[in-house]
Amino acid sequence: MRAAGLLYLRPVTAEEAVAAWSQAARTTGREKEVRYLGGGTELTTAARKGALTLSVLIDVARIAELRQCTAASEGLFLGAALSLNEAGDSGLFPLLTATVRRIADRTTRNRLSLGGNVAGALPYREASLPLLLADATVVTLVPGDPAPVRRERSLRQIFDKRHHLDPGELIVGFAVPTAAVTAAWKHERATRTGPVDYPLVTACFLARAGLAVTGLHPYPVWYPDLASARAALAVPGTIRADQRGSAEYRAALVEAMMRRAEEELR
Amino acid sequence: MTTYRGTVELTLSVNGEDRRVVLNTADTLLRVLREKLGLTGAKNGCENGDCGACTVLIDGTPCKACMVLAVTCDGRRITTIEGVNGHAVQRAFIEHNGFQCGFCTPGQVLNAVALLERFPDADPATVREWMESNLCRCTGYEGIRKALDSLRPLSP
Repeated sequence: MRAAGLLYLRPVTAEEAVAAWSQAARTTGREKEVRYLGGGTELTTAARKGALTLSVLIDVARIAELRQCTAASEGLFLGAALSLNEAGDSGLFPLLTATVRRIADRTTRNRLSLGGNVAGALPYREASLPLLLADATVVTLVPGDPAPVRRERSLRQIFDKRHHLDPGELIVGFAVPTAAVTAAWKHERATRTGPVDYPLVTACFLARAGLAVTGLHPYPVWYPDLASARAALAVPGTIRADQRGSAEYRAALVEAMMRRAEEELR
Repeated sequence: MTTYRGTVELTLSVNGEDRRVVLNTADTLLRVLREKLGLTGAKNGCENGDCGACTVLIDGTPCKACMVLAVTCDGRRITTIEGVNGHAVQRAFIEHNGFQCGFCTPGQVLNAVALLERFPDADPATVREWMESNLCRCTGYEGIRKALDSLRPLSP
């Protein structure tokens, strides 16, 4: 990776990280080159390819608050810096476990972070599917004066094609209600080749919460029920088509997945 | 707050030894291991996180060194293939011809070492899930599977 004079910062707390972002963005005048570093897989590969210029990296991977993985009567809290394997292997949210176990390969998942997968630039962002269905609350810290400000919002509220976070806003973690954790669920994923491949489509179903799909568009989508998903599938010219799969094929895969989910979650 | 800029001198714990190394904050762990520390067991394959030839253990967890910045590794325990001399996994790979050209072997062995340390009686599905992280361009997967099967207590 080429980034001459890259400034690397490793704060101890989330507040310190956000304050460091504010100061670095002000000092450099190039806020897009100031990034939080979780697992780093996406940033290092993008920077190596020259697709991303970095001036300052703020390493949040060791911040204790972002590494929480706790269960309480009202629900779970999953820190944004947990690796996908740590979040999945906890077994606390079975639909999330099933979903993340099919993202990339196991060794890569040791570095991919939960927050990074949800907020990343790649189109699939499969870890966001169970969280959208669960109506998870995103806990963030946003730069503020004199101190960073804590926010709690529904992921559905800030996720429309991509996450809508303010500049410098740091995802601390996701609060998942107990009702979503215990509801019946189904996960399906189809790829062009073997299990370690980007998905043609991935669909997650949660009883009384509809389905969330990625692969149909360059972003994940949540549908509150199967009828709205079928209506969307019927709109011509909206579904992704490439050498990996035609729009018709992807739509047929999702339709078949929905039929199986209707049977199993009835 | 820990702060490093540009070229810095760090101590990395590699194979049980503290190694002082001058590195750039943008250097990957793979580059530092191979070019600064002379540990060429981790291979530079795809440099994109796809092949697993650069797999090393960080605090006992397999990671692809091409996607890890070396500067993030201070205070961590790094294990490369040079640090697992004569391990049972290596002997099993030899006994069962678990390699052909050998390029992917260090990554395969380290991933298997971590797998069997965590799950000594791993079932075939778990072995497959872990080992899918490493590609063998020679397609020598059968020998690798046999080697790992021979290390599982309940294997026939």
